[in-house]
Amino acid sequence: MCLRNEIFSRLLLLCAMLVPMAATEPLYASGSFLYAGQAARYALQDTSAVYAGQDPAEHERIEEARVTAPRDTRGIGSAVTVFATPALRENISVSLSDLLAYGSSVFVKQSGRASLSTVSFRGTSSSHTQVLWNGMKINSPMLGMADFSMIPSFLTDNASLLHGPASLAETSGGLGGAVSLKTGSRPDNGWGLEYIQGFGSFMTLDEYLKVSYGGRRFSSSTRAAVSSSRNDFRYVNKDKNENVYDSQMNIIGTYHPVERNRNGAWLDMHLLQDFRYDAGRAGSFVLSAWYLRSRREQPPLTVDYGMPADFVNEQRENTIRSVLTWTAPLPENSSASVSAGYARSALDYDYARDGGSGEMTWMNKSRSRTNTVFFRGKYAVRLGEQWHLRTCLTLDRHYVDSRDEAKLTSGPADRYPGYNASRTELSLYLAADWHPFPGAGISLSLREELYGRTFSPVIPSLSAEYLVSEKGNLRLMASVSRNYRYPTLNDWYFRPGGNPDLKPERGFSYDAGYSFALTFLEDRISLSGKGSWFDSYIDDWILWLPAGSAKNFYTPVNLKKVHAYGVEQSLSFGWSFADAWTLAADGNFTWSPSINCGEPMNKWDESVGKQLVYIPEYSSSVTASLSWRSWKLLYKWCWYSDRFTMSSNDYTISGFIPDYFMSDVTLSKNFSFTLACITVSLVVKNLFDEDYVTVLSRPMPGINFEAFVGITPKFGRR
Amino acid sequence: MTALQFIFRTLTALVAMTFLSGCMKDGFSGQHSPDVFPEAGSGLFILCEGNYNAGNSSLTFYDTGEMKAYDNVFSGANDGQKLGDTGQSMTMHGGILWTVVNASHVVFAIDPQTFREKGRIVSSDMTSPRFIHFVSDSKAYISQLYDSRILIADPVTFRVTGSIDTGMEQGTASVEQMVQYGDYVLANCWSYQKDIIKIDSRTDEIVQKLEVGVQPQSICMDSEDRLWVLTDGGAWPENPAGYEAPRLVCVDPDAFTVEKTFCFALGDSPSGLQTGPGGNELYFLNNGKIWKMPVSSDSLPDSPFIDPGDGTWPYAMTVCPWNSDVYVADAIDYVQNGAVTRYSADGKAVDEFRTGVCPGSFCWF
Repeated sequence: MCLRNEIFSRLLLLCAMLVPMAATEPLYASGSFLYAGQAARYALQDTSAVYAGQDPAEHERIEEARVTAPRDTRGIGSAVTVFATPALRENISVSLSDLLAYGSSVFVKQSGRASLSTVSFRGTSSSHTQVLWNGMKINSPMLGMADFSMIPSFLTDNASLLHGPASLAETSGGLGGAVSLKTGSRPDNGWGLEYIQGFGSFMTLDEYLKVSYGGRRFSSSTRAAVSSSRNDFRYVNKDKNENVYDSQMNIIGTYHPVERNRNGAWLDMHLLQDFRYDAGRAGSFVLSAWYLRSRREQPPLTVDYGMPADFVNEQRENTIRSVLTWTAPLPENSSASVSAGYARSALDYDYARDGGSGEMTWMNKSRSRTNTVFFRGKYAVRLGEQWHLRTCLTLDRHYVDSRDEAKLTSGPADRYPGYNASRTELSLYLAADWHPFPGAGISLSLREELYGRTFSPVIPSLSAEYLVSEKGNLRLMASVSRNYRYPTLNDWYFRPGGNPDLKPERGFSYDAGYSFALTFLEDRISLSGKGSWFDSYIDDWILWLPAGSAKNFYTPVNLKKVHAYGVEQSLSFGWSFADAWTLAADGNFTWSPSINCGEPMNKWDESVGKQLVYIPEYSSSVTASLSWRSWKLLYKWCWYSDRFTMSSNDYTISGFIPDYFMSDVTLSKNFSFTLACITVSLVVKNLFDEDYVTVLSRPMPGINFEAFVGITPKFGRR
Repeated sequence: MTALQFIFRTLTALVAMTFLSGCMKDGFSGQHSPDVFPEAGSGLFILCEGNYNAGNSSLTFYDTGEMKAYDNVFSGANDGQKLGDTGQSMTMHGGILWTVVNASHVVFAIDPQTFREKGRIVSSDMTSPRFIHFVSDSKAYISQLYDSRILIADPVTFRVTGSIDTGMEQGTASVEQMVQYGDYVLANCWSYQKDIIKIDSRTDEIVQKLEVGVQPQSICMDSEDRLWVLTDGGAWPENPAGYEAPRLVCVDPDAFTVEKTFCFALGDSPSGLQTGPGGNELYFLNNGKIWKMPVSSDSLPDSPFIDPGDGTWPYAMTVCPWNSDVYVADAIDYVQNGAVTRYSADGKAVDEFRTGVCPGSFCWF
């Protein structure tokens, strides 16, 4: 066999393994991660960042495929789900929240199209999910959460979900877990260009442009994404009756009106720039900068009888984040990097009634400015074959200026409701991994934090894993940890209501799980899975409750104790069953009771022993793809069980969100020409036109469509 | 298995999934028309605010004779139509229950015997309605938050016909409760305000203003036709409108001057001022307790009339106009059905029942 054929056959085999991953999103990690030089058998299914050509099914492109496997040192026994680059490139309209909803076990709460989307792990709340972008925490220092609808998956090269205790390797405060996003992947050599245009229902337009250059030492990637929509879909409003009156103003008939989702338009723009420079003996530098500009109208509730045209209700955001990382040129048994970053976010929210002739009655004119300075230093060293030591020092300094200018517009600025505050967050992480013998590992980590002037108790974490069988890569793992989430700046300082006496939320978590990966029929069938059982207790859960004589403002209190437990199960299947035919499927199932186990507030309190509001007890998702040559059919399905809106879990008309199934399907075709590749795809969302809501009184669209055309010039890579 | 066989089986699976998707629930099916036909003189409506921006406001009816409560009577009687977002207040007039739903920008006219909607007032001028007050059968005032105008509505045609400019700054304007005094309507201006106002209902103009303290929260008229005003003092120390000890102020409605003032302790949070059936006693909430004092008293009461205790924190209250029973609402954790405890006129608990989420106001029928 000539070399070319051998390479070709090996790459074909590789593709057979990668296509399921590419086609069905998540590339699951075994839960074990390696340090440099460790035995390859540990890494049968590693967290490899995968880069493949845009068209893996085409033989001409296979030669360009390149696989890299960065050493991931997030620890032994960790439950981690990795979405590699291909999984993040399904289509440009997909936000990270869409991706996670269909391709992972986390719960994504979406308030509507291009509306606030939050992610929660394992029955916890969205503020218990820490989000890192190139190592820098991007949760709002005011609110504690991150809006995943503002993160296009196309602007992310690698996304990792760190479930439960696994998050401690990156940051604290992730009582449920953490999401780590990375950019800065090295582009292909030479110049590259990619442009995608999407046209969809409700005047939805999506554009994406990528210009890249890869040189021997220097590389650059510039990505721009613009998304806009009028978003004025029609729906039958079952929360309202339209009355039919007679001449005496008596109601003689009613019906549910067909309404449009007025005032729901958006315009989001993203610009992401990555520079890499390999300075040889001076190490390497990566600079990533992400500018986001968004304007989103907030549509009225289904129960609002106001005239949308009379109201201004919109949110605007201008955010820039940048991180510069220097990786030191150390010997193979050690690694070190230093990162510095800066983020500035201006968030405006206007709610006003337009009285005509420019006269506005402001109900809310919120102006929030946050500045964050970030610094991180990491060092890891391998001592012999058994020990691996890691340390990380992280510093975040937040400055927040938040106020509601609708109140007392003529008064002095310092009298506005709101606050002006800053806080330093310092975190030191130490970890030691020990491999007493091949196939077994134990990891102990400690984290110490400083919030403002308060030191946290030491946060310990212990995890272990054992390779039971090399055949099938059957692996068992377990971990236990403490964790703390400190109150946000709003929790402490917001006026009115901020509570400087709030205590941090305290978490205690443990989990145990397994993973396996098998191949059959000469590797034409692959089957992998992982599952875990988790159990966590969170004390001093922070809730905002009404206060004041007229209950006209809210104040946070440490109120609840929550016991969250359950099972996460994932299964992946890939089958190359005929020439050029590939079937792949991924399934996720989560059972996550999240129970209020605190003391009842009084004799009336029926929330104790009940599921937390808006957390589904069951959820499931499936993605399946069928590929033939350059054709691909992708089907996505997800299901959430009933979610309660009342802490007492009552089934009343507004007490719960009924369960729903959601199905999307995508058909795509790649055309490879001499000068360029052209990709055409059609996406059908809400395939079965389900009438559903995800949040009370927030309408969702029925079946809708979007078509995409993408062009990738080959620039000499013919 | 050939490729075609496989495709066929895959499509079969998709069809099965389609069928499964088609089996999903179509909303809540347990909402029925309430099995009660109230008679005037034995009914109490409880408006449950729900949670802001959730649209889960609801109406509970309590039969005082049968001592039985019925939840969600509006939705049940109106084919599942929801009451809306943040129900604020109710007024009974002309045999109709007028219900102001603040964040839904609507005032519903509801038949109190069938709970069915009889009409609704909506208007492009409605910014944030709070209370409705009837000057006559053909004219009503609708007070607003944020908006400097009090709307004038025709309850017969359900139309807004005009407005009264209060002169307050847009955005921080606030007019709350209104009471009738002869040809005048007296109203308190609460959020970020310090005044009460006097409106000539014949000309629909504000004729007098009186500063009574920071954030007049509630008002009522006593048996001697004096206006009582309860301020909350600003409620939070950095309030741009000011922060002071709350006050109970007695106002002469003719001269429109302060007759006497009682001061609470700084940090107290009194609310819900109202009179008993004869207008000789004042009731209000403060610091989780129910307080009562004669209108002739020279000081605030030293001890509470009712201390619910056991972690109960009153959210709203009402006094029965027929027998002086006191009904105290508890919102508990604000995200579950609230509860109401009924106390006899001498302060003994005689009944208790559940309501919707955040029971915030009452109306007698």
